[in-house]
Amino acid sequence: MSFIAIDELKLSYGDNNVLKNISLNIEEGELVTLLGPSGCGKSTLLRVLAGLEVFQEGELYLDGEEISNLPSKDRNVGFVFQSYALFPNMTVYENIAFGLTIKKLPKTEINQKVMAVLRLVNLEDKADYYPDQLSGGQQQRISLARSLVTEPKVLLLDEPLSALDAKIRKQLQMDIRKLQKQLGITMIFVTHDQEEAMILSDRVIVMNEGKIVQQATPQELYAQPKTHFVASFIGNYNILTSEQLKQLHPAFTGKSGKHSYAIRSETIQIKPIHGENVLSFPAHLDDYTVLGSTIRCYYTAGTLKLTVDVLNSEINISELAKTTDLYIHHDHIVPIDM
Amino acid sequence: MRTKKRHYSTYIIMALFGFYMVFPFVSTGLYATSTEWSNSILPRDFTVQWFAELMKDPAFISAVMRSIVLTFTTLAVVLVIMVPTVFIVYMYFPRVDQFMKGLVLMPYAIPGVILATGLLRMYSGSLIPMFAVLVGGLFIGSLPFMYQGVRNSLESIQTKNLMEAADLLGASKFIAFVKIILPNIKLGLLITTLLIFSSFFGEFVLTNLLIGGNYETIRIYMLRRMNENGHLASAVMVAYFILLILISLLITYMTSNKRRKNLRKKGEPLTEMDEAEVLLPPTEDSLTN
Repeated sequence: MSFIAIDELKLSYGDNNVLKNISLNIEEGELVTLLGPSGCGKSTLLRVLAGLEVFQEGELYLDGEEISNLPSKDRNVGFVFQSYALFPNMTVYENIAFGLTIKKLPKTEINQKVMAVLRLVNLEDKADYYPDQLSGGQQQRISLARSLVTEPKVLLLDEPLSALDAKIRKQLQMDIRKLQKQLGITMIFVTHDQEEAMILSDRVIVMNEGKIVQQATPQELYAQPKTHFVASFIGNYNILTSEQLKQLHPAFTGKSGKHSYAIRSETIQIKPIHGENVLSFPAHLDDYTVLGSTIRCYYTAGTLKLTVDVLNSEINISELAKTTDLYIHHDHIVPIDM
Repeated sequence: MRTKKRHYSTYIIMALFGFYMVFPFVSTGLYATSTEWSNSILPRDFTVQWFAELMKDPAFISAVMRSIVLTFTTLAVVLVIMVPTVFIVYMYFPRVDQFMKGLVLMPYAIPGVILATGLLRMYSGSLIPMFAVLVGGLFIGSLPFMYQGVRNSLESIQTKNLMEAADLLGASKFIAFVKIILPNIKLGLLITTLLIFSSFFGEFVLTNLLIGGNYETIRIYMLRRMNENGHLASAVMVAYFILLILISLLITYMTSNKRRKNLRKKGEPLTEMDEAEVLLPPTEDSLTN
C-alpha cells in the first residue's frame, strides 16, 4: 500500500458536493501538488488529510494506518497555513517549541531541536522576536519550522506562498523544494498557480469541481494535457477543433472520438520543418510582445487566432515577417477531451 | 518635512469641541473648591472643606467600598462565564452565534425600571439574596458589550486558524484556549472590561430599586447629598471621577503585557535584505539527526 492512500472519498456540505469520489495514492518522500482553480476542493482535500474537515464516505490511510477517525492532534501531520497562523503572543522560539512542549520533551532536547530547525530555515538570529516583527516571508519560514520540528509523517501546505510578493515567493519555492529533498519528507502542496506547481512537484494532481482530472509529472502534464480544462488551466495552448484544423490544412485527419486538440505555442514554427507529417499554412502577424527569453507572436490564419512563442535568440524582431508560413509537426497536436 | 497648513475653521471646530468636553469638568471642579459662587464669573475663594467633609463621612467611604465590591463581583462573574461561552459559541456553534448576535441586543429593548420591577416581583421574598439578583441583572445588561466585544476580539486574531494550528501541534482545546487564545484577546477584553466597568460603577436605576435601601452605592450616596448642598455634590462628583480614572488605570496596568513592552524596544525595523535571505545554506545538518 502507498504511504498515503485516499480511497473513494466523498465530502459534501448539504447539497454542495465538494469532493466527489477522490482516490489518490502518494508515495513516501514525494512532493505532490494539488492544483486547481479556487473552489475545486483542493484545500478541502488537504484539510481532510489533516483531520480539520469531516467527510461522509471513503477511507484514508497514512503509513498503513486508517486515520479517518483519528483526531488532528494524533495524526502526526504538519500543516502550514496561508495566513501563517503563528501565535502572536509567543516569540519565534516559543512558537516552534510549542508542539514539543505539549509532548513534554525535556528542556535541553527542545532547545536542541528548535535551534536545529531555526538553523534549517536560516532564522537563528530571530529566535527572540515576535511574529509581527518579522516580514511575511520570514513568518512563513517560521511556520514551516514550527511544523517540521515535531517531525511529522507528512507536511501539508495550504497555499503557503500566496500572500507573498513575487520575488519572495520564487525564492521560497526553491527553498521548500530543497528542504524537501534534503529531509526526504513527504509533502502535499496546494496551489492555484500552475507555474508554482510545475516548479515544485514530483507529481501534479489537477483538480476541478471536486474531481481529479489529471495526475502526471510536470513534464507529462505540460506535453500531454488530457482535457480542455487542463490545457486551458496550464496555459499557453492553442485549443482547436478538428474542423478548425481542417480549415488550416485540408489534409488533416483527426482521431475519432476526440473533438479538440491542444497545440503548445512554442511547437508552432515560423521556420520550415522538413519531413513527413507536417502541417503548413499561411498566416498573418497581428502583434507581438517580448516576454524576455521568448517573443510571443499573435497570428491570424484564415479566421483562426494562434499564439506562437519564438525564442528571442532565434530571430531578430525586425525580421518578423507580416505574412509568413507556419509549421506544426503532427506529434505536437495533442488530442484532448472536452 | 513640511506639514500642510490647515484651514482656520478646523481649529475653531476643535476648540469648540474641546471647550464642550472640558468646561463641565472645570466648572464642577471650581464649584467643589469654593465656598460661594453665585453672582460672579469666577468663584471668590478656594477651599478644600467639602472634600474634607466628604472624607470624614463614613457613609461616603462605605458607599465607595460597596460600589467597588458590587462592580468587581459582577465583572468577575461576567468575565468567567462569558469569555469561555462566547469562545465556544463562536468556534463550534456558528448557527447559535447568528442567533446570539440578535439576542444579546435585547437588554436595550427593556428599560431598567421594567427590568427592576420584573426582578423584584420574581425574586423578592425568595431564597436568592437581592445582591445576587442585582449581579444577575447587571450581567444581562452587559451582554451587548460583552458578547460583541469578545466576539470581535476572537475574530480579529483569526481564532479558528490559531486553534487549528494548535490542534495539529498536538495541543488539547483547553490548553490552546488558555495558552494561545486568552493571551491574544487580552487587549480586546481589557477594552470591553473598562467599558462595562464604568457602566456598572455608575449604574443607578437597577441598584436603587433592587437593594438601594440598605446598600447605598456611590451613585445613590451622590444623589442623596446632592439635595443637601451643591458644593458637596460637586466634590462627590470630582471624587467619583478621580476614582473611576484610578481604577481604570489600575485595570489597564494589571492587564498590560510587560514582557512585550521590553521586547518591543529590541525589535529592529525590517530591511529588504531580511526578505531576500536565502532559506537554506548549501550544507546544513538536517532536522532528523
